Amino acid sequence: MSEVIREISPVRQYFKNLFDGVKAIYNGMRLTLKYMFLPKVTEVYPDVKRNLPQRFRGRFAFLYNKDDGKMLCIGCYACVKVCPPQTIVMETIKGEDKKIKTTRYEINIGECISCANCVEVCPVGALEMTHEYETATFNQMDLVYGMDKLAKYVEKPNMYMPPDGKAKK
Amino acid sequence: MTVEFKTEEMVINMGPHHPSTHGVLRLIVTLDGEIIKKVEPVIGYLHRSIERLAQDRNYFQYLPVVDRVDYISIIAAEWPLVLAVEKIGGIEVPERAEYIRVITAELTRIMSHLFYLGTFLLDLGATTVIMYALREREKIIDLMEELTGQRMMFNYFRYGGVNADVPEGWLSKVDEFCDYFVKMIDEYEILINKNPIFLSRVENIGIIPKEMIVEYGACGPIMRASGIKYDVRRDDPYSIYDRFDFDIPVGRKGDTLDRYLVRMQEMRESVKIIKQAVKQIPSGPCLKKKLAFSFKIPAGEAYCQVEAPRGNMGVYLISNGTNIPARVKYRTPSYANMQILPEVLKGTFLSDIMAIFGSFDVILPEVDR
Amino acid sequence: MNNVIVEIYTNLINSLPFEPLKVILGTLIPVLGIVTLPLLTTFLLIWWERRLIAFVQARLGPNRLGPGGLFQSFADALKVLLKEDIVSKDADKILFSLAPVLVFVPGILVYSLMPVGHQMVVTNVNVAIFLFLSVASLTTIGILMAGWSSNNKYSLMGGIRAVAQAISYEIPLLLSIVGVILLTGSLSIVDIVEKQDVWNIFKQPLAFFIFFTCALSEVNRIPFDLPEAESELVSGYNTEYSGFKFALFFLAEYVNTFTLGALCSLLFFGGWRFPFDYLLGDIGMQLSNQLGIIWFFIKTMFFFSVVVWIRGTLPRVRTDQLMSFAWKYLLPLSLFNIFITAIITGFLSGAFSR
Ligand code: SF4
Ligand code: SF4
Repeated sequence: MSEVIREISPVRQYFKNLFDGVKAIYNGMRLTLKYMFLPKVTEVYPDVKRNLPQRFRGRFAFLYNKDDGKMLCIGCYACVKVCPPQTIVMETIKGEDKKIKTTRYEINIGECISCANCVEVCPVGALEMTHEYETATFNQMDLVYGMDKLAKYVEKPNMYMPPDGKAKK
Repeated sequence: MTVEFKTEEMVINMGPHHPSTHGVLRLIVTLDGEIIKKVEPVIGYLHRSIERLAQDRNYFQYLPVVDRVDYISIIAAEWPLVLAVEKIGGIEVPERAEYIRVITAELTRIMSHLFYLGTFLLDLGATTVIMYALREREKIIDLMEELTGQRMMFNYFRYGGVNADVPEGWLSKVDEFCDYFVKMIDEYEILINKNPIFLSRVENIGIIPKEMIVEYGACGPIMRASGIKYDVRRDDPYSIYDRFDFDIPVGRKGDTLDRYLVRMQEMRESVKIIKQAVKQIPSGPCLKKKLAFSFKIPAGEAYCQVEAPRGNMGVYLISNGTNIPARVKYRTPSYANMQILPEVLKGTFLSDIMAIFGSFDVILPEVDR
Repeated sequence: MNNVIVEIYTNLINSLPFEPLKVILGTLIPVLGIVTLPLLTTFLLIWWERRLIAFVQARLGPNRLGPGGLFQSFADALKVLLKEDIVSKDADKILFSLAPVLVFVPGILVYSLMPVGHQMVVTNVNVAIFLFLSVASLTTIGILMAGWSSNNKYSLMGGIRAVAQAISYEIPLLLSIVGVILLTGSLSIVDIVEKQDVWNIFKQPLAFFIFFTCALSEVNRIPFDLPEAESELVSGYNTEYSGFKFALFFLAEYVNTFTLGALCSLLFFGGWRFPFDYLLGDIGMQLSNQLGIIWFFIKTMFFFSVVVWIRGTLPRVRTDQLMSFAWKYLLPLSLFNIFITAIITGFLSGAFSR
């Protein structure tokens, strides 16, 4: 890097500094003045809600079949095993017809980090991340969502599609 | 007649609740008037034992946790872990996934540098730049949200690829953003670069000589600002960085101004890389094979590092053949960079703490983990 | 030509039946005026500053309460007043309580010297401008007091910085006004305004810039807000204050900034006078005399907005640079300005032709 350093007399340097400074401040002030009149970027939140992208991971939901009202979960405990904060509480019983039935499915929304790991591993697509994100409550216990609060009735299971080229044809 | 003044040194406890210690750093500053005699950083207020958490979570379960190592540039924390597991497990990554990884990593680099720019100027007392910077950062966050589903904790990388393919039209949006963003960098530079007050606050302040950088093992833009041309992306290439054409900006003096300029230049280089990647990206799968959630990798050790926005972010992983890592050690850049701080701050003014510390771009969660 | 408002007011007072009542009301009403007016404007100013700084930063600012968020400051004031008034254990209690008053009172006091329109001045002192500046600079003592008595290191440093800053900036501030005084030949603010057929800014541009810079520093606004410097000293001298005492500091800051704007418009932009009113003949005079308070307010608000705009643009300077800027640039320039002004006024008045 070659740089020509010219000798400037101190007096000229003094005035040059002054001039440069004033010019730079002027440029900066002009820019901020411009923004004073440009449209603002703020979204006025409770009045205007932004469009959520399709993949948005909000509150978690436990899916039921819309037609017959049966739960999709088969009680495999995969979601419990991959939950990083280990917040899913689940209980199953073996029914008379030798089928496993989930009797308790509870998560604490305050602990859930919306990572969607559970959705990804569920073999039958019985879980979903909804687009709901206003989950604040006044009572801490209200954050524990049981099966009734998590319930969502859907037509088809929410299967995770790995992007490995095989799933989509 | 001579008058002898007896002055006392003053000890100030700066933080952990100080407005500009970027989180919860505590500095014990010994002052003589406004001149700093000694600084002693106290860290550990934000320790979340992220490394220990690895030891009772399986690999898949552990991935969302590492997002929290560095919440400003999330991808940079995910990547080394994924690399290390892939190295031990011999998992291949498809082309397209590599490109997506590069694009997201560079986007998060810009995100992180923008945040740096804002907070740095805020520490110097300029309140406006942070708003402009966050405005652009918001655009990136929106892009990432569209891609990954969340605004900050992406949980996007998977062992052997990425979680999902890019949505339709996303790449062209990224391209558009790049064009727009270059103009915005120019605008910041009008506002900041020549401003005499800014220059007088940063020029020749906090000079770090090359030798000190090497001794303390500092890395990232701080190292490059002192004139060492080293970048993991070029000198220890991982992923597909050897295919892109980009410069490594270096500074000359190693002062606070250089650290700022290097970062501004790096944002431009990141834009360059993204533009190339968007152009070259091939089609194909984004994940080699969907692994079972409790997959195992063979026993072994690996150290993988990436160039995070703040320097080399590395992961040392020991696997004992089960589905749970035996030990994960994060080598974080902020921690290495923090160690220079007391050395550099000696003899500067109290107001310079903010300028110098701000220019280090230290993220406290990354220091404490 | 008399101002209508003033005339009505004088007639009203004079028509009162008893002599003592005249005296009491005649003093009470102006006093009430100068106390309430700044307080009310402050609410407006706080809202205006927050909106404007938000606009500069591409945000919206407070817009919820009242039209355009105008009542936000009232809500905030209520909140601050309801807060617990904490005095820390080791603080010097008397000084600690006295300091906010001492900061606030000079700010209000100068309003009694400030002509807001034709004949609309509470006391027309013939050395008004000096009195004005000396009273205004008393604020510094209050700030130092606050810093010292809080028994907090950040506060102390804030206080010390305030004093150091005031000492260096008072000098160029005064010297820059000397140019104006030379042109006018009077120390009375009313005289200065009345003699500005052509605004002083056209005759004394350099003086204006020096004055503005120094005044910014006097009122501790960015880029010279070192005593508060929230990223360095947490909140500077008022770190330990809460509740009503903090509100006083806060009000004082805005009152002072308003005073800055007022001084700029009075000394350099013709105060209450309509632009180029002397060219418009009688109409111009009427505009200036009767509606003066409006022009004055508009001009002052403009300068207040400039202060906010500067806050939106510039970073904060460092202590030593602040000093060197004052002594190296502002002082020589203001001396140079006095020199040139003196020579030119000398020539024009024929002092050298004898
Ligand atoms: S989204 Fe993540 S944190 Fe929440 S329940 Fe599922 S796995 Fe657990
Ligand atoms: S992974 Fe799905 S099927 Fe298995 S237990 Fe969880 S919700 Fe039920």
